[in-house]
Amino acid sequence: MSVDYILWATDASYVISSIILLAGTVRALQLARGFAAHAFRNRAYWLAGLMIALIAGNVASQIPTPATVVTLQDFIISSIGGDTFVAALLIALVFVDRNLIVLKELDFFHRDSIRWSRVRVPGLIAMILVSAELVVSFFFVNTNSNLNSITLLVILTFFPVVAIVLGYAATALVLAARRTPDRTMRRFAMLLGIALALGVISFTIWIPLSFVTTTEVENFIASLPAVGSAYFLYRAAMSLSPLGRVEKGTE
Amino acid sequence: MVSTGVPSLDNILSGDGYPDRSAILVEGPPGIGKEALGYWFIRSGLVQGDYCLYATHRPVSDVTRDMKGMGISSERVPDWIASAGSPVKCDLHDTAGISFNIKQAVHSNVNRRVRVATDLVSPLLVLNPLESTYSYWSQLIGDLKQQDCVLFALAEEGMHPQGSLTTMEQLFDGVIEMRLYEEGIAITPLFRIKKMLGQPPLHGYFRFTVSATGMEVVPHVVR
Repeated sequence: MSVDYILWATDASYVISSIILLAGTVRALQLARGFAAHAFRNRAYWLAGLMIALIAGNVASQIPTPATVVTLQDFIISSIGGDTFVAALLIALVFVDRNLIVLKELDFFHRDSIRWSRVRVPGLIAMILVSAELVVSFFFVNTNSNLNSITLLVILTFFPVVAIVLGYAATALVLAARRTPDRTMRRFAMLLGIALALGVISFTIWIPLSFVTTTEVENFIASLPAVGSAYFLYRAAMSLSPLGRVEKGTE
Repeated sequence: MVSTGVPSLDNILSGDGYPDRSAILVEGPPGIGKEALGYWFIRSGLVQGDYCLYATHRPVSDVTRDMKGMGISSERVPDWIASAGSPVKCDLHDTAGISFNIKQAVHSNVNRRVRVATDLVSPLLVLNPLESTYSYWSQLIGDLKQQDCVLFALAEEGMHPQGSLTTMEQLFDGVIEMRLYEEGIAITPLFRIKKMLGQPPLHGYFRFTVSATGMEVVPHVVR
């Protein structure tokens, strides 16, 4: 396969995942309007917010960045993709945390899924620190002569920390989902956990691949779990409430 | 007849509400607004001077907070059988105790109309076999209907195997189903009256809205 085809396929994957996320956002907002209970309405709004942040990340990643960062405007344009990406990750973590608290309440024995209550605060702090580091790094990436050392620092801290914290959260969510007697919540949490796990794979898989293949192939392979993640987020939105079908001719 | 607490729903139910001495089951997925219908039913009873009892697996504080969120003032409150915050506790593992306490409260108000609202159908169905839960509710409903009492029960659709709620529906005189329906690309909260004692079959759907100012029910035109 030529490089052009790979680039085209990568772009197509991001367009497909954005369309799926957009459909999921619309569905989540429609469901939120239908709920009477605040807890369920909030859950739908949070999911919509997460999907909007991911769409923004996809769109922002297509904005051409300036060759050098000189002004504040350059910095904002350079970091906008990273900022939206970081916002999506933080929204995902807080959203998963809220769901884990609900699942703990729903569990008959109030079990703490793989000790999440002890991990949540250190995990969030670590995520905020490495996210701040990533955002600040955009200021130096194009201007500083120590490009490689800064990039290496970000790679060595940001990606492993995010992968560990979100991977742990996804595992806790799936395990907690299995324990809840509420079938709707179980299905929703399971799908959200799978979406999060695929998201973690999508943005970390390039690290091992970078040793064996080209950047174009890395990006293409990383875009595939992103499509899967978007699909499972859409399914999670649709699982917020079972939908009936109106039978015509019964009015 | 006993007012539902929602005038537009009373109009749909022959203008008067639920039948006397009846048991009504409202089923639907979580978050759809089943509780709101129960709260308005209880509030209507309190305004009319009926004896009202709310039997719940939740703490009283949770339910009253929910009621306030739906615009129902807590000036008048029902008697409670709840997991916390009530003089009579609701222990889900003591089904006989729950039944005894409900019946005692109802029998001590023999000269008044009684309204009982409960969300205990689903928890008891989760914790006990279907056969014993069916038998339990069958006896309780039978006892309550000896008196001028209307029982209003809520059931969570997503918590049970498909057939369980269908089985439980047989015990009730009225069954209302609330859920979100897909109509083209739109999603609309609707309810159906599956059956109602003394009423001809009510085909069709009704659109409902729940807000801090009340609940509104209107017939829905299928597109």
